[in-house]
Amino acid sequence: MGTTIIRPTVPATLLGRKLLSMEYQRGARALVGSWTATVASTPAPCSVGDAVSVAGTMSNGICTALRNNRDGSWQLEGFDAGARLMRALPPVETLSSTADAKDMIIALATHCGVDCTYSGAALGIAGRAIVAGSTCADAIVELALLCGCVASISNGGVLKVHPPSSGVQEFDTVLSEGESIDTDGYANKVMVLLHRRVKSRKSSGTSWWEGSTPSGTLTEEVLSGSLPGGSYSMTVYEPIGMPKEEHVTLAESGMTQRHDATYEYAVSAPLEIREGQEWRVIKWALQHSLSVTQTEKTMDAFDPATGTLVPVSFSETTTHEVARTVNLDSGRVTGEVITSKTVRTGEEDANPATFDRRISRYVEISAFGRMGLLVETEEGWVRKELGVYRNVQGANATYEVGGKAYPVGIKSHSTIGWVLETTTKVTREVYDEAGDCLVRMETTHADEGVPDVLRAGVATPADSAAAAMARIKNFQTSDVRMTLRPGGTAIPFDVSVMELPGRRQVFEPPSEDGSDIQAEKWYVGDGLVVPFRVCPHYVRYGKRCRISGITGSMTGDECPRDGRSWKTCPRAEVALGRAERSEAPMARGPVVGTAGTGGIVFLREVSVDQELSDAEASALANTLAENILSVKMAGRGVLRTISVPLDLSIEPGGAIVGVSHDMKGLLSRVTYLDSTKPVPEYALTRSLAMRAMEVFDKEISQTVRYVLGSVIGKDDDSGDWHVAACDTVLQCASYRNHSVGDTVLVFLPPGATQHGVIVKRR
Amino acid sequence: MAEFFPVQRSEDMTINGQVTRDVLGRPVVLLVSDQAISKKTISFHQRTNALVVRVGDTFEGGVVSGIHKVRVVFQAGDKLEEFWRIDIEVEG
Repeated sequence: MGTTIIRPTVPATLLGRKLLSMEYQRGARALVGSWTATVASTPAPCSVGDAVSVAGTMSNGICTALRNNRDGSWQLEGFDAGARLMRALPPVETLSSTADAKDMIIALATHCGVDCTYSGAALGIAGRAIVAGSTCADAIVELALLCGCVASISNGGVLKVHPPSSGVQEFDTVLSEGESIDTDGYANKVMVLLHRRVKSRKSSGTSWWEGSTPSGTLTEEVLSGSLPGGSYSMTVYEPIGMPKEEHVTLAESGMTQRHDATYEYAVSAPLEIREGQEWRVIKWALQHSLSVTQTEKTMDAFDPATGTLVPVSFSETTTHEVARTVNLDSGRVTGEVITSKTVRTGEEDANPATFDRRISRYVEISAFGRMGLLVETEEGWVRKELGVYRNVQGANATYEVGGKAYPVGIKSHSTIGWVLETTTKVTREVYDEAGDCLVRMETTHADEGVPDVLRAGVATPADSAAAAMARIKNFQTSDVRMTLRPGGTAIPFDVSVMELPGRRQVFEPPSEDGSDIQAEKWYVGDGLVVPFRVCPHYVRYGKRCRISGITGSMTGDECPRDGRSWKTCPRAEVALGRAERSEAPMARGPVVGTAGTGGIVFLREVSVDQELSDAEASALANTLAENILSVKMAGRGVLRTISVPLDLSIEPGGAIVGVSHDMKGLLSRVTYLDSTKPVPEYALTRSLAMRAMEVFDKEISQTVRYVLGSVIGKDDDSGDWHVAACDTVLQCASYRNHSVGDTVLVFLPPGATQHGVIVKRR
Repeated sequence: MAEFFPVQRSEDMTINGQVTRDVLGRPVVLLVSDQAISKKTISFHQRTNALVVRVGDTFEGGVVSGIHKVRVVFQAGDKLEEFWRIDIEVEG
């Protein structure tokens, strides 16, 4: 039994300092290897973040921690080149849209400053379509898995992506050995659920606009005619149906009534395009109106002078005027003054003021729509008895009640006069985010005409200002009322809006491969959802119907309608019913690919942002399943871990899933898959039952999620929609148009945290 | 008359590597270098604790890696004498 003498190569220096000891390990399940080293150095050999390389075993590593020991040496810790792959995944739109998954892996590594060698086959599908994950490392591992490859960091700091292999090199001297079963994520059968983008109609050729969009200019329509005892004439603005002028004359029983009114509106009529359809949005609000109602009546009056009846004419004219300030952009009327005045012929002591009643309202919405203020001032002239009281205190001027004598107040003079009464009502409201009113505070103040009386000097004897104020307070009434959660607002000054549908963009149905088209009401085309004018099942060549399996009322396949009016076609109706049963009309149904025959099924959902036919998708799903299975079966199962004399040339790859070098103990620990030993069935059963708990780090995020979000904008460059969801802003692809504020259902592919696909609008 | 005390020199040689066995029980020697790691110790006595070298000095073909001082009391005839025993470790 001879003695084996081995002289391992141990690097002498690290960063130019004497290397006292070092351990470097690369695990089976992480792309990032870690190391610790002790070097003889004064002062510190490097700073945190500096690049660290050790000849023959690690390149392009990073120092992440260092501390000095009491003996003057320094202990360093860090990661290998894999740590450089932990950069955030660049925005998808910056990635090549055509590069194969293989090239995408290389591009991502290059983006991180890491060289890459890829020895597997190309996947045949654009990497951008399936890239997922929050870091480049996640994305690389995911892409490698789908490509049927494993990824590891070589001694030279290069990302190696290669198919797993079962062979492992022979080791002459094995110092220790052990076996373990690693069934986390193990599978002997893989199912791939492949989602894909709905087929775009971009290639279907021409589109045109069908129908017409109402003009934004209001038209006038005159309505006139006769009434019993009179006539009428109205001019109405169309299409809003609001009056411009009104003239009505009625005569009956000696009384003639005439009503004339004019109205002016603030109008804007912008054109909006939503989902391939134009809409004329007409906003209007009354700006000014003046109505005059005149009543004339001729009566017979007895004239005592002549003893005969003489005709007497009487007329009353009421003027009603509304003047508003309108802000159509904010959709609000910000203020209005309503004035009314009645003038009667022969009226004695007529109100000399220009109005009888005037209501002024002022509206202010502030704090970004969260607070509202309405100040309403109502002024009205009323006839009141006015006079000054003097107390005449004397024996002759008292009266007794209950045996007690009261002085009698004698009005020194008295008259009936016009007094202006003012009632001020202030309403304050606070709204929540949804616009519901949370709190309403109303204060009402009626002065009962006292200030006007005082102002006119009618009732101001020798009072001081303070006494006058006290008197005002006595006569005035005030009211304060607060309402919690009243619901609706009491400030109803909204602008009226009418939305009129206009013309629609129509796309010609594709002439090739139309078999996948379902007779839905809406189809996706060129980023817009548009209706089909021509039945999607109609084939112009030969005028044939493409629907099979439904006879309907047709004989043969010739379409009697030439593809038009197809929604009433029995065949199309049935096909439409079939199509509407689809849960997600925006996305095509997933296809399933399988590989392997075992009972331990690994299910993976993959979303491909690419147009694929059923056959293409099915083939791809099967390829992906095969690839995943090859990695799963090569990376899990019975693992052997052996210690061998330090050999820095050993690196992960092939069947070797983990390597650890101990340069002080002069040992290398190598973990590799022992393909000669089958995995015991009981272990697999356990694996199946406990998979949810044992899913390892890289796979924990690899489940599909659906989240609800709200559209907050669109990136015009990439065409992506920004959707607020999951406490962040997601970049989402979508094939239909949305409006800001739409609630949408976003599909997040496995591992995706930033990018999703809008699949449904709620 | 100058006093004379004997100086004791010792040297340890250890393998620069590890000796272990493989899974079949055969001895395996893992050598970082064929050259053994040597460590000398020079020991002597003197009446004071004053040192002629310091840790880190080059001394006797190596670097002083450690110095140990111990006070010892001897009985010489009918009286007690106090000495310092100095051990100087030198790594090659």
